[in-house]
Amino acid sequence: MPRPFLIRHLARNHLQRRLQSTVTYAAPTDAAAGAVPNASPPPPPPAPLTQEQKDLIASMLRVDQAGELGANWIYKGQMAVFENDPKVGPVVQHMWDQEKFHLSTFDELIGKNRVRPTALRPLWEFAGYTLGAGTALIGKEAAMACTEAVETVIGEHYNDQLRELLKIDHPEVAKLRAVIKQFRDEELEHLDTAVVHDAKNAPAYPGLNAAIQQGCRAAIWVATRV
Amino acid sequence: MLAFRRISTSIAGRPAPRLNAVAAACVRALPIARYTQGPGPEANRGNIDYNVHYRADESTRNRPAASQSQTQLAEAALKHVPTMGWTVQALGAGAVDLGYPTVLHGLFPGGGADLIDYFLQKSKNEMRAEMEQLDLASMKITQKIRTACIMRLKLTAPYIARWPDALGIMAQPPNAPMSLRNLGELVDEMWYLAGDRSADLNWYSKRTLLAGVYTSTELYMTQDKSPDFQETWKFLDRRLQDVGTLGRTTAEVTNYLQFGIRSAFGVLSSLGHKTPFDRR
Repeated sequence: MPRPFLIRHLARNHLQRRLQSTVTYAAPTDAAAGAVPNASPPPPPPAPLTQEQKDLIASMLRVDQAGELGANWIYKGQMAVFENDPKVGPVVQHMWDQEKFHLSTFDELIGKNRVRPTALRPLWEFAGYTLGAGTALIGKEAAMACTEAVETVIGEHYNDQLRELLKIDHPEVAKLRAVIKQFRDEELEHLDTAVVHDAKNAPAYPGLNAAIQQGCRAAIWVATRV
Repeated sequence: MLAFRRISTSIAGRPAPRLNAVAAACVRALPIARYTQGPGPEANRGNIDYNVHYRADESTRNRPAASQSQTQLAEAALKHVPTMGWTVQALGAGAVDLGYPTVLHGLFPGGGADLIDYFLQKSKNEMRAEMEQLDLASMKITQKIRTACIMRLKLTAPYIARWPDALGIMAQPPNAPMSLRNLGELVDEMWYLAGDRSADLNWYSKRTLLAGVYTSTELYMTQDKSPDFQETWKFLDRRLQDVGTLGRTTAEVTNYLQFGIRSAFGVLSSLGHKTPFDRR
């Protein structure tokens, strides 16, 4: 019932304004006439990242690259010892394969997004290899304890990053969050694998665990900066 | 004649696919192939988009851009640089040209150094804009680097008589961070345009080497009296060649060292020791 009235009302309004003709007049929209009730406006483009946010993400990518680099070389060192071990070999190889993919992902992200890569690459390679081969030479349990300690710190570290990234509302950051979440889950899977394979039975387990964890935290502190 | 040609093409045509298949099989049999694969089949990652593209532009971060009045003043001042050098006087003369008193030079508190900073940033951006006009995909990396260097140096050409002054100002200790930052950003831009996406130590070595090439060429250019800077471009080509040789030599030395280490481990393992290299 109200529609003919509304239209007539609008038309009269329109005519009056045209007669006054000093006011620029916007034609009545369909929504105003009640014809299209559910026309939603297009989503606004995301706010560009600020320089601080960009710097934050850049340093995250850099430290993640350094971390995955270290992890790769730890597994490389372990595999140097466990290559012919029919039981532990395939387990470590599987984890190593996943780490390789993590590293190549971060390498690609760094190249594409023009982030300066970590300058201490040879140091991380050397430290990782030494740690991996060293613990593997002590024994299978020590190697697994090393994996457990490292993956604990990396898991925590990825969680810290995710908390920071959650504060940024941007589609690209959402993609990055999904990537980091996936990687964190895989790192924690490695942690479980290590515990299942008797990590806790390693010689001097508490000391070994604490030492490696502290070492990893120190490495993260350095890698965020250099 | 036709029949012969048909037979010859059929003979020439047939072995090619077979050869390809053999080559592919050989490549697959190589042990390296195992380590260059992506995620294993067990990886359930189909629903994740790894193509994060947020452009950190870390090495070319935008410093507070010059304001419009600063840009106007600097552009006016640059016209006086060939006669007055990179000085406060040039800035003052530019201000007078715009119809303001000479004290407007206060927009650039650093005087000549700030004017140089502005010029370096502007030239880098112009170089990038010019490079992006080209068909970069069809060019080789060295060619792209060479073109970028020449484009950038040509932007310095109008001020070349005064460029030694600028180099002197840039070398003063308080201005060293400014000049190094500009040099770093320039070579980073050049490598990015050349398509370099390295994420290892090559990132550093490439930029260092190019910075050396660029600065030495720039220095040569200030003394070059040849028409159209022909000698400078030749000098640039020689420097780029040197860098190529250096890269090759480094690779050869590394190979040689690796060979030595591997042989040493080979001797060890033949004596019954376990070494990292006796797998595979």
